[in-house]
Amino acid sequence: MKCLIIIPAYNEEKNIVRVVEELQNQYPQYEYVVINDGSSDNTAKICRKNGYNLIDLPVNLGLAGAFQTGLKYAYIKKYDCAIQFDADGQHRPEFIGAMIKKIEEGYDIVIGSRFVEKKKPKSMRMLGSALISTAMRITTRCKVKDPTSGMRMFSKNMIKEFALSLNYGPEPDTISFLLKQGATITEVQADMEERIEGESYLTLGRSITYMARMLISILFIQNFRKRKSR
Amino acid sequence: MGFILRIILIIASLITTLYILRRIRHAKLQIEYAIFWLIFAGMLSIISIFPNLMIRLTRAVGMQSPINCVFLLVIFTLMIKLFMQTIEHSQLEDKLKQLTQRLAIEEKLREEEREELRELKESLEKVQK
Repeated sequence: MKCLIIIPAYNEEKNIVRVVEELQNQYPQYEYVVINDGSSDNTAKICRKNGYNLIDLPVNLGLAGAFQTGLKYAYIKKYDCAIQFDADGQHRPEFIGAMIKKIEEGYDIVIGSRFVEKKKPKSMRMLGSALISTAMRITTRCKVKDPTSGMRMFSKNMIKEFALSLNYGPEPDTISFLLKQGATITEVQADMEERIEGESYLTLGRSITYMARMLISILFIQNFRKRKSR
Repeated sequence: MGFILRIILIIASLITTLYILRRIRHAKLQIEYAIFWLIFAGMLSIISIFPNLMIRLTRAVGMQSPINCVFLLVIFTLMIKLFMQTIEHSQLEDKLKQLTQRLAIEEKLREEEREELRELKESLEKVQK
């Protein structure tokens, strides 16, 4: 099974080398592509200098646009599955193998989840995660323990659907929509690191906006969406 | 706030909501952009269904009639939205400009490379003769 690791990178000059070197040296069986999302720092330059597999977006598209670029690339190059992988070192490659197994079993989406075997710690961030989880449970009747995990793997069919459609951002509301529409989704335990360098994108104001957006989207909007027949 | 006005506001909100949802259903509108209008329509409905909220607010800010207060709120909200959209518009235009320029320049560079290659080939053939 040909798997592509998609690494969207926005201003990750401090992290990208560490993340890609580990993949290249210790996991040569996987292929990867770095999507530089119009960074204003030297992310693209560093990737070129080291000969990394790079797609360099000329302007900043945001995470959804950058990740979709990777999926389009995976679709064109006919990969069997693709995984979203953070450029800041939060995600651990040792869990990819177990996720690929689940795709081979026939699941559409596999979430690298922090809370399959472990309990959710109590913090503001996890309160948000729990709220989204509850909202998804109300609308889909399915339990997703770690909906905000950014480590998600997509099957071949999903790659195509995500690559070519509107409103398919790599966010919990899309997962909720697909669950409701009959996609099969499972979770695999995947521990995550704290970010070592750089700042998190989520500030308090942004978190509140994000939460409001996700809840309105999951509880209300997604109920009216139609999935194109594939 | 008169009864008819309240009904008009509720109907307008409903139509807005339905239209927005239809656009999303047919994959013609991004959810990020829909959320503002859904919240806006929801607020208008709440104001129309519970006019007491507005009446209280009107007294608190010392205005004459609740309807003026509704207008003021709507105008303010729309002005802020317009302002934010102007900023987004400007950023989008800049991105479009950068993209177009980059595309054209890359094309030009490729043409120049092709030209150089051809010249190189020609001089090579001359030497061989």
